[in-house]
Amino acid sequence: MALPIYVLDTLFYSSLLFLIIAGLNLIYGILRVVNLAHASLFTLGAYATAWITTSLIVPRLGESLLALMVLPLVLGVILVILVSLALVTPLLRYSQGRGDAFQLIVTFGLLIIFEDLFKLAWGPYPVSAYNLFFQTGFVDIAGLRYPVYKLYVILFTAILALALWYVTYRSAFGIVLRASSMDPHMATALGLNTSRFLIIVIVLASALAGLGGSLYIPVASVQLGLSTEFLVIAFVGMVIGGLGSFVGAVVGSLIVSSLRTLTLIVFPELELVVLYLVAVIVLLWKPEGIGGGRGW
Amino acid sequence: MVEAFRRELGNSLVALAILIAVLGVAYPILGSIAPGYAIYLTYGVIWSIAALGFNLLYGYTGLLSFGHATFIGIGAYTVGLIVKYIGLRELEPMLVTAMVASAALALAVGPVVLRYGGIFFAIFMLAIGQILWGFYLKFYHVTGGTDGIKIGRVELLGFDLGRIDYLTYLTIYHYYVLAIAAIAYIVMWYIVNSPLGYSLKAIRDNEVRARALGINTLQLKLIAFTISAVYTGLAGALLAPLTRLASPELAYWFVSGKIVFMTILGGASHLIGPIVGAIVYTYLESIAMGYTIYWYLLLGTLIIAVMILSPRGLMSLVDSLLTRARLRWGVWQRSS
Amino acid sequence: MLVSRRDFIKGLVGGLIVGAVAGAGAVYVAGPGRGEVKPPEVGARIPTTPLKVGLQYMTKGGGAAWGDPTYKGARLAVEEINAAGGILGRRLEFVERDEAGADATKAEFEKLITVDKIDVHFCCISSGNTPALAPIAEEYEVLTFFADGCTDILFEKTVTNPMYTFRVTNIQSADGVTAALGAIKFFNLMEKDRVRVAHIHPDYAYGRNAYQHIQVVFEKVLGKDRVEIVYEGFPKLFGVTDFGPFITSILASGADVLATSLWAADWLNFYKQALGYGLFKKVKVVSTISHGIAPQMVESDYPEGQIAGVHSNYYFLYPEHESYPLNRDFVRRFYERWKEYPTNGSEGAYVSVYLYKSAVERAYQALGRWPEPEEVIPFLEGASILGPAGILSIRARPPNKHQGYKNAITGISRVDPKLGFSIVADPLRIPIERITVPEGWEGPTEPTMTYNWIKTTWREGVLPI
Repeated sequence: MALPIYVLDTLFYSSLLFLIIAGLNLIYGILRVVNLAHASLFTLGAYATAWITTSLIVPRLGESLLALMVLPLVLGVILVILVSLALVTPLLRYSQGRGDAFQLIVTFGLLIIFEDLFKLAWGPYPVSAYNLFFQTGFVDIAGLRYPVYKLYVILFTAILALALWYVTYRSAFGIVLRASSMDPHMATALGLNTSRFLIIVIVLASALAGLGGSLYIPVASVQLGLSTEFLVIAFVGMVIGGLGSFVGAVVGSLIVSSLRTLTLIVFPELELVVLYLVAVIVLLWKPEGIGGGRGW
Repeated sequence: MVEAFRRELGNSLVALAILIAVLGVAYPILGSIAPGYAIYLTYGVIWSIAALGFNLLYGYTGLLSFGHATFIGIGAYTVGLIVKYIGLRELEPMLVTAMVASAALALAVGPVVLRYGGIFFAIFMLAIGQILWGFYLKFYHVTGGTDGIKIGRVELLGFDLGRIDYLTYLTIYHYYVLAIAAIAYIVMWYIVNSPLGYSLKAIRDNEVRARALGINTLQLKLIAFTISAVYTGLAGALLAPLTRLASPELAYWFVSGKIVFMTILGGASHLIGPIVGAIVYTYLESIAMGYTIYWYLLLGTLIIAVMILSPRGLMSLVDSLLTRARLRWGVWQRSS
Repeated sequence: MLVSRRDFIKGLVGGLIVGAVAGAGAVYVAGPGRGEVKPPEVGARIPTTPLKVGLQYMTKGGGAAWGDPTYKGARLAVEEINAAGGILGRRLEFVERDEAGADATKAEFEKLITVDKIDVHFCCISSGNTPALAPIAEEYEVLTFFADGCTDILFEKTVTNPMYTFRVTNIQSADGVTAALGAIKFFNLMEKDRVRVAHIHPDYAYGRNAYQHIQVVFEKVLGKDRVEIVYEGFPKLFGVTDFGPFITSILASGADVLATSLWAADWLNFYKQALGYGLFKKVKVVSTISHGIAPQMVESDYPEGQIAGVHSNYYFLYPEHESYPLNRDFVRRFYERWKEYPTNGSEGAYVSVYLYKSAVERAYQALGRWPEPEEVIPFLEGASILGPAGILSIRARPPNKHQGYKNAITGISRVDPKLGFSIVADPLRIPIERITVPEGWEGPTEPTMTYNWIKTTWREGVLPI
């Protein structure tokens, strides 16, 4: 009876996860760096978009659909990219080739730095900007009301995923992406893994995460500690789907999201445990992940 | 990263002995300045046991586990659950049980998990740790959920210490911990200098070649993993009476990250590196917390700075200083 | 040393009670310019060094939403006291620290005591930390005032005979009971044949405590056969941001009433999303704490007519400013200082500082010199202080010795057009002695004594207020 709603909620949550995991996989697949601070960019996107919406857009342009949908998103993502270029990119580039331990520790340091930066910038209280959520209204699905905004996010992300797929499999840039992730040494030898290319990859990954946060904020609030909540789940999805893989990002986000909805309904007590158990099982059965294989 | 393990200061029994002595003498010195400083030394020693165990797996076998908080949690909750359900107060049986429980978990998941290396292993351990953390959090009626299990004073070596004053109790506990740590350090020295230790290093340097040489890599990795788990579980069990609480935070992956950092801070290629790193980190974190409310910012920056400036750890810095000094001494000797 | 000190107190108490009675005047009052006791000019036997005040509160993660306003309340009090000359002429110097996980909080507390040498400590949001810190405070003999960390366990189980630890905010069980009574009253639940209740609470001690106490009150007052639980959900604290599945399930369950103790971002997300799903048109919501966060943060789209809990303690509008200048002036000063309105945590922390000050001053009057911590204790036990929320009394005897009690309050949510946000209207003030286990009562402590007291002593089918 409420099944269509559960399915839609699953798709919605997996859209957000996909945006985070895709970025994680890009960075891991091509730079071979594990980035614990990635979800912090998601959080930054959420904070930035909320702030832009409530402080800059609404006072000047009111609550028109166009103003709410386009500008905060674009400006928010630009901010995330700028912060990424300033703080995250240099660190990730430096961490390349320095071993897993180095990367995990350094990005962990970055993660906690971000937490305090968020507090300094936006304070300890939850921040929200539900304007768009309410503006877009609700539809009737199977006798229950459902927010149009969530449908928008599902559609938007699906189109974005398709675009990403197209770029990956049908464009020159995509060839380089795939080649670099399959065999980084060879790619470097062929002159593909240039500094500029790698920076573009990091920026792309950051933009995706920031975009996720931007899409997330109209339907939820952001507060300190959000990064950690999303990070661990994103990692589980990354592992289940396949490290460093585009298809893996899609598969992983769908599986994790489905598991989550399922356990929330059926076994709420075990919610956390089930996710990690499945991750362990997948790692044992197919360590390259269900959707993964070689690289992006 | 292939590193030559030279027989120098950082690996010798002498260095260990000096370190243990320092940790014993430092306590009353710090305590006379303020008990608050001294208690961090005890924490540092406990974490050093965990880091030492971790490093057997990382520095010597080449396996990075990002989930060693698992065993800290097992250690702490073993103590908590025994206190809560059995009402025992003697610490020794609790320590033994914690070590056995940790070994059991290691032996249970090891044969499967150890087939993989690299990032897979790291995330595997993370996932396992999070599973247990989830249990500690959710099974509220047994584990107390976020409130954890309260642990009062424990009996050490059969002595009931319920009546003595708090600071004396802490002091006795410190030397008790130090004694156990001393044994742990020496045992570890023995392990890494034994044939097992050399085989592990061979596995770390080139597993394929090690196997070709006839080393049963899986079995040895399992042994190392189990020993590593036992050490960390012991640390968790020693931690619980000091914090007086078995709480889920001890099993959260942040703690795993700290253990990794402590080890690397001290230097993973030296025996005493993790010990030094654990103690230095404990004070570092405390100084950061006391310096500013925004101590995440400070600590995160310090962590990054340390990793960039001194990626091989403090002991490597000491090494290069000593090498330079030795060279100067050699030159001086020859010239005179 | 410990033993002789305790004997000393016993001997002292007698003398001090005489002194206190002799010097007794009005109940203490929290606020500047309230009859500070001026130290004599010469040979005062009062240290001239500043008084070191420890402040530990949450600064990271979701708890920061609570820790921050609490800190602000304490800090305002400290600043006011310093502006008026300090306590008996001694300036207050505060040392702030983070309240992190249990082990770090404890270790930092010990550092504060032994390294920074604080004289008094104000702390704690988390109910995991108050039972962890209290034994330490008792060991080191440092006066410690908790402004939250309201778990019943603290004085019922962990430290049943506290000397140096006090808690100033209403006990946790009061939240659930207040909310349930509010729901029964405002939603006229006694007139319904059947009440279908859905529950959604964060999965940790606070949520479970709220669930238990709301249920026990519903079942007692309405009658067990009339109450039916149609849904229960315990999402991980701050672990769920998309409450869609929960809301859908609640709607599907056909509940009449939704009882909840979700707070901060969890509740913000839930109610906003629930608005979208039209939940409030079908279900009436009773919350223990929806309006307990910083008042100006509850936006004007919050649905009206729901039970708006404030952690049962204090809401900045009550007692009404027109008739109660103490509250009016406190809110004004707080707003001028911090550009936001005080929460129950702010008021609690503020009052606890003044409580300490007043007790020290009275002790000074009895002794003629600066009192030792144990000499202040008799002036805290059984004492009352008039604060912005009303009268707070500190219980002197178990159960819950050293717990502070003030009347509980809840109300109905309404949008205030002038203030521009949702407020608590139609306040229901419940005398605290009606809803909490009384002094001298004996009974099981699982899950809380108040729970068992209600279960065994309340009359079925009778609304006790």
